[in-house]
Amino acid sequence: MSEDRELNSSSEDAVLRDVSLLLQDHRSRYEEQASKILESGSLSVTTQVGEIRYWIKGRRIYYSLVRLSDGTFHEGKAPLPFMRKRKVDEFVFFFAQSEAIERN
Amino acid sequence: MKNLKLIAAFSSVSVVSGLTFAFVMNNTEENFCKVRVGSPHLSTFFQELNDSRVVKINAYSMCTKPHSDITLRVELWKEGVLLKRFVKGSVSNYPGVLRPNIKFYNKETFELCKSNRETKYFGKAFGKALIEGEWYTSTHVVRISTPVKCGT
Repeated sequence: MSEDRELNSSSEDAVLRDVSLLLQDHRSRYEEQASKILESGSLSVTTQVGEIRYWIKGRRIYYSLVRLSDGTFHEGKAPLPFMRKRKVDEFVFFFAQSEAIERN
Repeated sequence: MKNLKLIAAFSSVSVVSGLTFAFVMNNTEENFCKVRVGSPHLSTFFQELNDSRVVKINAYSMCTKPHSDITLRVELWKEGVLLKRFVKGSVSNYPGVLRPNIKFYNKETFELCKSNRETKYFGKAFGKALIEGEWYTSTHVVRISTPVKCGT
């Protein structure tokens, strides 16, 4: 059961904490980035600690990054909604999520 | 490269927070590695920070021998009206070496809730690692969906 508790814990989580902070501080930048990637289909963002690549393929959006603190490689993907407003909202969260992962 | 055959077998049933789910585990003669995925849950921590909520799923992989080039892929799915629908996926890859029985976590799979609508979610995790020059893979799929008050 300790294994289950570990996996199902909703205790303090550094990534989620940073997602919350990034959404508060960078939402307007994320909305601009969302408009760019919806036009071009791909985007590369230089952050304080590296670079994150984003792209759209089919009906999905993707990110890839290398976390310099531990050398780990990370990728993520999510469905791309049909409505433009929901696409932007999805990208805003996606950008915050990937940058938080990169930081932690 | 040697890929171990994955034989899915229901091997245990656990009860967490009043919710029942089943583990599907590998069952091979030389299964040095395992992955475990938890049940989807709301992050109360995120809700405390933010008015929004997220549905989250965590997983880890672990091997009983020194291993390297670890990849852990985690997917969050939901039950749709007719079909199961992919919600979010993430892959973590560690190119270095890990000692035996050290857990390699992926806690990066979560999605923002758009409503309070109760939705049934389940998770999948796929692991791969290099042990003594051979690739070992393992899978864990939670077969019973967990209802979460989070529409995505």
